[in-house]
Amino acid sequence: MHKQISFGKKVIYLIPSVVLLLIFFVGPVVLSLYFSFTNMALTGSNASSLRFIGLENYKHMISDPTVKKAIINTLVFMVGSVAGQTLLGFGFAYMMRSCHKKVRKVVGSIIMIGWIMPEMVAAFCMSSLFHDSGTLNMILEGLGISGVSWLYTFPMAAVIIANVWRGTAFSMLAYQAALDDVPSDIEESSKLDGANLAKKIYYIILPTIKNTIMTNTMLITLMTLGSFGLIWIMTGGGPSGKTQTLPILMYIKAFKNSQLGYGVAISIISLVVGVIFGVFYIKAAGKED
Amino acid sequence: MKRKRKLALIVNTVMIIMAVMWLLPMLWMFMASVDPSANVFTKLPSGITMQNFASVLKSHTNQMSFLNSLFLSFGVAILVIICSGLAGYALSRYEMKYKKSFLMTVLFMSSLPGTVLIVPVYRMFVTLKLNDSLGGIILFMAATTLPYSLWMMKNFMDSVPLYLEEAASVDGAGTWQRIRRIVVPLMIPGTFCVAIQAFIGAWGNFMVPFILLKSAGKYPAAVTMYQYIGMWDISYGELTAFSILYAVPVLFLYVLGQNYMSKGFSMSGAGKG
Amino acid sequence: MKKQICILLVICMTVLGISACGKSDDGAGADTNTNSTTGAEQGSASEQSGDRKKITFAYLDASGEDAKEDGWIHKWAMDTYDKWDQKDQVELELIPYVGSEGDYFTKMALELSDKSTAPDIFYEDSFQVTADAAANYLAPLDEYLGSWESWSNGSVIDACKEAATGMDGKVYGIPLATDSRGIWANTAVLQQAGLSKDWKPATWAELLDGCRQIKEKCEGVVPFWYTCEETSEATSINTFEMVLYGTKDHLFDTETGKWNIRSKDMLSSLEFFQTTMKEELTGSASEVTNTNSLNYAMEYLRDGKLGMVLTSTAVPNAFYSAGQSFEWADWEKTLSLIPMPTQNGDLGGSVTMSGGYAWSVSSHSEEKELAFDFITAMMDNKEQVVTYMMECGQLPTIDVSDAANYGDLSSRPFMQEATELLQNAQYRPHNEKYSEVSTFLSQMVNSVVCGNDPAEALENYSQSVISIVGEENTQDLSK
Repeated sequence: MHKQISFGKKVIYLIPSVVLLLIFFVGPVVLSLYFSFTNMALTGSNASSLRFIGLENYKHMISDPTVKKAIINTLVFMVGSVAGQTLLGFGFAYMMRSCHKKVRKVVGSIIMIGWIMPEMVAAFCMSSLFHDSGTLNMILEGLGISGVSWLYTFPMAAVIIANVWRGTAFSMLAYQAALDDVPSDIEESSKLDGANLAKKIYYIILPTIKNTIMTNTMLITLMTLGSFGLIWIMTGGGPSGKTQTLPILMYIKAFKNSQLGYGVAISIISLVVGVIFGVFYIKAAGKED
Repeated sequence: MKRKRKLALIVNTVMIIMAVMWLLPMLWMFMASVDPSANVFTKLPSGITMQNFASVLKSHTNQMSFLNSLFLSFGVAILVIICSGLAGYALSRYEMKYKKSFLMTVLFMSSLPGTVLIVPVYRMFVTLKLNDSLGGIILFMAATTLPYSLWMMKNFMDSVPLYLEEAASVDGAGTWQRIRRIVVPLMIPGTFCVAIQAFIGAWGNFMVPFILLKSAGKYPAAVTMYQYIGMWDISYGELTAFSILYAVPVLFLYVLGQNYMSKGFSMSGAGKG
Repeated sequence: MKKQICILLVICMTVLGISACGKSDDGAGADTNTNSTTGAEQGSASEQSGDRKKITFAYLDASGEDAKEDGWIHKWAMDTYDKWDQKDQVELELIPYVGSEGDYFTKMALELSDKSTAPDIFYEDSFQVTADAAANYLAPLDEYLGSWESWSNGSVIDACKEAATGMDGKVYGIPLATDSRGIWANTAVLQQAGLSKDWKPATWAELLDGCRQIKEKCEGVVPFWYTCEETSEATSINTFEMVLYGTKDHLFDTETGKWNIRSKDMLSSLEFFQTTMKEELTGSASEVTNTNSLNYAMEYLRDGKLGMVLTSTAVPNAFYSAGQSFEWADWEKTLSLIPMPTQNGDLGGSVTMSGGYAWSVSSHSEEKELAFDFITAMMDNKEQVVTYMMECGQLPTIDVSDAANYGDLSSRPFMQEATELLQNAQYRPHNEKYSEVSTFLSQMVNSVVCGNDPAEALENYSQSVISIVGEENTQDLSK
């Protein structure tokens, strides 16, 4: 039940946001779209003669094997990160409720550090963890297992773990709040109780917090899609393109190969992937209503 | 009862182990920051020194850059709260056409990596004479943070019961009074949540200030961190000391608002239009 | 809770207040060439703007010093400015950038494209000159060269002039430093392997044999190292080109004006790298392709865990400068510089790629003549040139034998050997597409080092070159 208010009055509240968004967000996005139809370059003779080339960039993308690889890498990275963050986030949230108050506070804060830490610092830390002579190998060697070149042999796993380390806190908070909202009688019947725990969670808890699951998953999917700094500092997209996601490929094409127009076209693909996922989630959430 | 205790023990232990694992990546950073001969390998410090921290703190450049970061981040947070607060209120309370599509479009746009927008924004800023200006950066970063913030603010607003406002308006309170007395107090957790997200986002951003600023005295900490990475030589000790000091303010803010954070994350009302 | 919020608000206000005071122009509409009043760190050497002219000077501060005033170029520029005859009429604003070279290039490219942001003078890597000139970012300096004695009287080394010339033959920069490349060796390791202290392999085969000997005789020592980061110019010039240019066919045929693709010489070069990997004559792929590859190499070399590293002659500066992280006390007895051999010992016997940097003037500059004047003043400031060379380890492009501190430079370790290598110096293709092609080049080498098939990698490279320059500008050498 909403009050009947004149259109003008409603709109006033929206104006600051809309203005800001239009000028500083929509504007550049539209410009980017335009650039993707040109041969824009950072330097070289193309830089002095900007030319409209229509769909050439996009046509080139279709036959470019690095683009296909990047799309796959992006999907793998996304699925891995979202799965990891969701499972851990939910798991932690659920377990924390049965934890000692102090434990909850301290552990919760520690996990939050991953989220709060500035991206570059997190990337340096993660690089040091997976480094050939880094923390992880140091521990393994202490246990008598020989270390592995993580960033070289399992680069995707490493960056996914790093992203999960960063993002789990967000999901954890979301699920904590959601679980707090679960009515207490349903709550009672699902308390940690052994054998039927899995069933209880699956049939009772999950449906109750469905909204949160959908929204949270969509948010973290979109956040992961745009993730750049973490992977760039850890592996630079390597080795040999194994962790080259769309944002990384876009950066390399635009700023290293100086092909700005092409790079921007690639990021439009990123946007398309995001829209596809978003629509998918909305449909899935809408089904139940 | 015994079973309950046993389970509680297991759960507590598991979470503590998780916490320890979560701290592992930071081990190198802490050790290297007090190590006089730190390098890229994870090793026990060859001695304990506070020299790295001292030299980071003493540097005038660093002091300026921290202030710049604070200025930028607070600026972004405040701007974001104001815009998304107002808009969130309208989106939550008022019936509007195209509301859902507006929100959706706005959200999808945020899946574009920030690096893409840099070049058009650079060109735009130069034309508007906004480049090399911290104010311009605040505007841009606020704009890119708005999508999520709008979304979250609207959700928080949704959870502030309408009947409270209606009761107040029956008592004769005008829109502004209602907002001030009822909505705002109840929205503090949500607001804080959004503010801290905006702050963190702005605090950690390297690319935007690097590209859009020019004068040495205006760079925020994210950019000046790179001064320790020289041509042949990376001063790991100072780099890690800097990183720790750089991460502290955001952690501090989080600790302050911890209670609000957990309350503010409720997304159960998200599906509603 | 309320109390905490109040405290927070107070802190906010204070901070905002302080920062607002500490800043001059940060609002919208700030003029891009702000003349900050915070004096020292900006390096601005002015008092009142008045009706003085002004030149802006942008550069990459790679000195790793946190106090800007200690930056190598800062010192050089300020000293020159103090002695400059136009000091009172012209203001100088120094704009240092910190960050990686790649970030610096990106930033400069953006700034150079617009009149309001382009600096007057800036530090330019020679391999960017052709591309930037083609993009109309650089001002040709030919009309001013006549007024600079050092250019024509032999002071400026002729071979270096080429590096800053565009494809159209015009001069787009004044070379400020150059470098050479070779193999740094730990002679203790060499001797332990049964090689002589002055060992100089004449061909690739000899080099590889030496590596095999080291691997056999020296337990736990890596024989050879090179850096192979993906998409890095260093990989192209320090690593791949050092090998390729020891063969007949290079990247680009200057006579026909076409890029070579699918060449057998390129394939053999790739196979050279594949051999080092397969026979474990070099470090692990993960370390070699890492961003910190060179740092590892330097540490291992110093500690005797590595026999040789192929890199720039400027690098070991860190070994013999006290207080640097790779300080090597014994370097005099154990470090040697070996020229990189050509494939078969012919074509001059050794290969050295020379790169270098230049001072360029932006095409949008309104004070081109003044900028040129300042640049030449800097180059004629011989003592400072020497100091700069001592700090960054590179080689001068101008004759500095009359400088008071020349003794420091001539007695710099390996100065003579490094300069000798320059006799045979080869340069990167003088073509505006080079910087683009180079990224594919480094990706090609990187993929072979990571285990991919050389023929496949070469084919991918060839396809990429075709897509960049157009098929008509390539010549297929497999035919």
